[in-house]
Amino acid sequence: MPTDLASFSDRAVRVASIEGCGLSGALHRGRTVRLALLTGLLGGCLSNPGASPPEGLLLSPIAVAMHKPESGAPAHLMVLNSNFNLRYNAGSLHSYDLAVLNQAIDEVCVAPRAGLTDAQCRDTEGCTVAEDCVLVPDVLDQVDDAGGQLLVTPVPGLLSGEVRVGSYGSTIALNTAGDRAYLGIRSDADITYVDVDVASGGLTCGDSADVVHRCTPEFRNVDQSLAQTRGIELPTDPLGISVRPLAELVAGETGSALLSVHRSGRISYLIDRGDGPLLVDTLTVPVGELLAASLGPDDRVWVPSAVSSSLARFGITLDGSADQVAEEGIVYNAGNARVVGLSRDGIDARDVAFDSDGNALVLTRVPGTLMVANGGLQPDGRLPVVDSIEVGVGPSRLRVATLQGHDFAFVSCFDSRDVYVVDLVAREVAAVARGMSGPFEFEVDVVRERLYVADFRTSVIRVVDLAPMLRCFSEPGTLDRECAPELLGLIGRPTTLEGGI
Amino acid sequence: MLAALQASSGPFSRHRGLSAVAAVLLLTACANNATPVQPRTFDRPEHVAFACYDRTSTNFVPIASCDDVELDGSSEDFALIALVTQNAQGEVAAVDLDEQVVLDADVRVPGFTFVLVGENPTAIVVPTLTAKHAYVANQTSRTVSWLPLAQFHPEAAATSDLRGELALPGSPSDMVLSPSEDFLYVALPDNGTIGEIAVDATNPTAPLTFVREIPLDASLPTPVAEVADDVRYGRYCPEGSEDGIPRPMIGAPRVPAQLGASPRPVHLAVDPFATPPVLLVADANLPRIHRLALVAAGADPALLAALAPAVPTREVVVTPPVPATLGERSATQRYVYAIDALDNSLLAMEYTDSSVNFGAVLTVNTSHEAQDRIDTGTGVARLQIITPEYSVTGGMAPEECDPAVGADAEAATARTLRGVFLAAGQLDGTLAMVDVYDLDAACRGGAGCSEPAQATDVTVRIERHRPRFDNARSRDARLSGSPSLTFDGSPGTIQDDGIATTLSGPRLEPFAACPQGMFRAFPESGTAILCASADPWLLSGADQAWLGVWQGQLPFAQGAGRFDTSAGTTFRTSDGDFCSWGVLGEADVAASMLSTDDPLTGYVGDRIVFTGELSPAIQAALEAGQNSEFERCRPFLDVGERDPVFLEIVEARQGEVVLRAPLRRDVTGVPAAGALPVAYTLDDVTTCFAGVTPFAVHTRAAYVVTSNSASYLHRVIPVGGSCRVDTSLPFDPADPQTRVEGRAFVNRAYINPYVAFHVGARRADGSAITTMEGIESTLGFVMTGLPDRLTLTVGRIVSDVLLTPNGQDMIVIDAANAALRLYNLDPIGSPVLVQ
Repeated sequence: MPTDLASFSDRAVRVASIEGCGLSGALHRGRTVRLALLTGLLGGCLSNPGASPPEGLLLSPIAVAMHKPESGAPAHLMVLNSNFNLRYNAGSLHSYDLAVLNQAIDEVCVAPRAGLTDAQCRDTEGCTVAEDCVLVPDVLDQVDDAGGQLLVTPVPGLLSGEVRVGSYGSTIALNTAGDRAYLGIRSDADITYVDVDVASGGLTCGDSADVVHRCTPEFRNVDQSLAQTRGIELPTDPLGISVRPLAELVAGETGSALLSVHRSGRISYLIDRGDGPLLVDTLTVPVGELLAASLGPDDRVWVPSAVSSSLARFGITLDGSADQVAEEGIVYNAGNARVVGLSRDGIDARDVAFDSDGNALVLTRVPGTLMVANGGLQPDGRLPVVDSIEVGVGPSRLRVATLQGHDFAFVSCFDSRDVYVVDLVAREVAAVARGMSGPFEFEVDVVRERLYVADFRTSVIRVVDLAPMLRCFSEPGTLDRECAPELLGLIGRPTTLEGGI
Repeated sequence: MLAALQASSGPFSRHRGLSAVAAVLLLTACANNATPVQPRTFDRPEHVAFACYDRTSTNFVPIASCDDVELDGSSEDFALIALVTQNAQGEVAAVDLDEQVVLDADVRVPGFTFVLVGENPTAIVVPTLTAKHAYVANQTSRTVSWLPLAQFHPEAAATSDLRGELALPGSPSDMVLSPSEDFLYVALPDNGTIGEIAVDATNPTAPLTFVREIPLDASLPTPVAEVADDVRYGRYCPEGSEDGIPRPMIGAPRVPAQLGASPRPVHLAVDPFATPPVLLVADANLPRIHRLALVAAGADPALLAALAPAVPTREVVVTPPVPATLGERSATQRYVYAIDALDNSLLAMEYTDSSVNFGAVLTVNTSHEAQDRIDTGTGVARLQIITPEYSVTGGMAPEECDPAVGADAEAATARTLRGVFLAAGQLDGTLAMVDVYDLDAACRGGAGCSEPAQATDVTVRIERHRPRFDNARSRDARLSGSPSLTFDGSPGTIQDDGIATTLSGPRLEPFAACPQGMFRAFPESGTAILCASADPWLLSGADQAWLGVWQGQLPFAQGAGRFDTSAGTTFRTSDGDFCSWGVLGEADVAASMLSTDDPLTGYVGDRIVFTGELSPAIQAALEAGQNSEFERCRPFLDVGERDPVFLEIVEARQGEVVLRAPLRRDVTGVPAAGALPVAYTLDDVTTCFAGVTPFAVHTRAAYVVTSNSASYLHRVIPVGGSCRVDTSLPFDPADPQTRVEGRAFVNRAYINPYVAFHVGARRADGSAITTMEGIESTLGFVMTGLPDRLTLTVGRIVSDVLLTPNGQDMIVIDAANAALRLYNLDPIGSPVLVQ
């Protein structure tokens, strides 16, 4: 059963732009207005402002992000809730305290199961199997335990912060310090930014972190004043954002430089000196539909395309050797990387990453593999594929992490409902994390050796232990041991997406 | 998420507008229907082994009992069972190939239940002589599981055999069984060793015992230099047509390369025809294929010298003995095929003991690219030798097809596989076939290449170590229509006499005779205007479109750079390497010391075209009024309307070029009298594009020739950081294979390994074309009717391919459809999918 609801979401995003009939600033485009009004009539809700999402509720989580400090464990996990089925009038950004989460997982989900089989656990008071062990923020009350099938545990302090954002979020990117999150929000056709208190995980975008609030328009719209003088505007449908320190472009500058890719095949360059993103330049890309943005070891942003065997590469730079000013920067085409040795008819690339040796890794759906280009981009623009590792069906997102000194690639496979772990030294699948419904975005916590997987279909975050797999890697063969990553428990009560995917 | 969901078009994508919105609302407001979940059967199937099940006794029996089973979907007394590893779940599934159904190992559990093994099973083996266990190597678990066969059939009688595991000292990447079935061998890449496991199939509880790790030699063997050999296996029709096909040029063996200092065994193959049998080991680090003699006491790594492929290898396979030439039955020749771990290319090695070339990597390809590699079109990931209806008895191969026997001759087609073939699973998700020995070759094209049993089987090309062609063809490749030539905005068509219909542009000059190894592709008769390679392996597959663009952009050659403020004529970039892009300046050509007949001799160098906007500051200054210091930049203001802004390249180095203002040039590039081609100066450009600015590299006074099938052809390399023409490459002006050129000059014949044409410097009326400054011109043509190679599209990399034990059917694992494909080979057609 194909799960690509391409145009479903494409059309729905226009609907979403009015956010549950609360006509917002997105109504400046005539076509959208007509569709919105029509939608309202059909929905019978013109006078209904819609319901706000309950605090602490996961709503089709679409993206996750985690600031990784130079030393120590990451502190918070950001989760962007897309409100995909428009059940509420907004999406949201959550910040989860990872210390609290992992302690609760260990105490509530893991410890009671120690030494027990699943069957024994089900017969033991206070013990439940991983897929039924549900942690929820304590602000979320009246959580249905499915007639006692789920062990639902409210956890104080689990949710560090929450703000409401537009529906149909697509991506999160954090700045280098981890104190600002940039969100692609398709219903706004814009980029929202949210300030993050690195210590507490609190979120603000126009009000106090102590209250759950809706981001104000200043946080939901990038500054296009400079763009107007250049005759350009921010393209719609932001799908991927790459952030780097502005100081890498202009010595002494503080802030961030952002590259945002848009589904329409455009790319935009923004700078943020602390007072919000300012649109500087845009570029149309010849390779078409763009899906994600990854900063490469060559300081260029690599952008996969769903319709081409070429990966677009972009540079951001400044035009003016003296008196360098970030606002004078340009985004330019740094030359495509052409994937060779794979297919003559193009590929459907979904993500790009790089291992610690600088090899480019390209995740493709057709064929469904992780391709390894030895040494990355060749000087003549070719990306020679030297290996191709089969992964599951519907590969979606790719992350590379070094665990116990060993490079691994993690691939979420939405259709086959699992996460593949690829040993990048042997270039073989090492293990498969199973038991998910709709894994898409995820983060690898290399310190705790755990995965946090946003499960879009069931609106939960799944916590997966990588230790069993790593033990099998580091120790000689022993009998009767489990080497697959182990699901430990969930954040959020599993809820099937209405309408189904 | 939505991005991932959106990019694949689904049925929704064809409906837009209001109805869609309504549908969304209905779905979101009213519907509550969960997507029905299909019970999963296969989940990342990878490797296959066979077992034979006796339906009458309900026992598994030796595999020979299934020799007469026909896989036609009907139930027979014996059932051929395929055991298929499921890597996603760490399981082994069983498939009744006879009835073409997946077997449920535990009918008490809803859905299909398979037999659990360890994490990431990488190989499965079932002994053919006994019918007790299957053995599975588990990579991540670092174990070998033994599984009683009775577990795999729900109706099998219970046995006293128990399942169990054997711990290994490392992660196994592959496992094979010795021909005597006394030992299992596992490749342990991280340990650099081969694990030897003793097998006692009579032991119902512990049939496996780990014996030892066998260390492998890390020394580097010297590659064997190939010498010319007149033995040539092939079949060509029409007779004599092979004379026009270019032959490979034997070169010196490659300098050995390695990816690591210690052995890394990754793949195993057993040669059962040798005495004693030999275990071949592909090494992904070292340029050696280890050979271990399989004697009664186990594997001996010291008896045999390693093969020296000069590169590390990923997989290795070996053929059975095959006849040397068509018409012979004495099976004397052996070959080894391996995947080059450096670039996934495919190599062939001589493995005939008596051959002077034993151990040499063979020259098998005729293109300008690596001649010691089989050109399958893309990287190779899996290898298997298949031998349908082929066996060696008393040193003799089966009888070849006899054209005089009508039924046999009619059955002989390109898609009928009888003989010995190399199946190569490729990175693009296809399975390619390479000819080794075709039992039907003698019948192809008819006796004496006349009156073929299949009327269209006129053009036949079968050659050992070459990709097999699929379709029969009644004629050779040809041009699709006529070449097109646009000139100064006027589209035109080249007529049979080489003159464009527009009459204004340059004519294509005729060839007195096509270059060697080429044939007249246009026009169909008369004097050749356009020639193409007669090598069917070079010109094969989809139509090849060729395009020449006057002063066009070199592929990939673009990025952003800036002028060096201290030397205003130097322009630098970090977005690429000018030499790898094939860029040349006039001084580079001169410094390359080319022969007078080299087509690049006298080339005036490429040019940099500035493609970006003026900086915002300069734009603002220009928009503020006409008194700024940047007023000279106003002609560059409108990037959409301005004439191209370019400078000529005097010298090209890896990260920079030295530039000068353009000169007026005639059509051959020689400086010409008259007004300069541009109105700006070098100083104007350095001032107006002072910062980092986008650029592209274009040719000067030359067409850039590209195609949809070949990479951009050039011979430029860095020498001491400067771009130079590589004069170490063989160059023979008469040999198209050596003419690796991407620039076509007016008034000079352009020849590359694929095509040849000659753009003249005169119009239809004979008048000279003196200059093409400011002119846009393109030459285009399409080669069609190219022979197709026999490939099976699977959609994902083939993880396993093998023949059924009786050799009548081929099994291909289709991970894309989570299925097992069952092909009949006589002829190969649409498969039966078992899911």
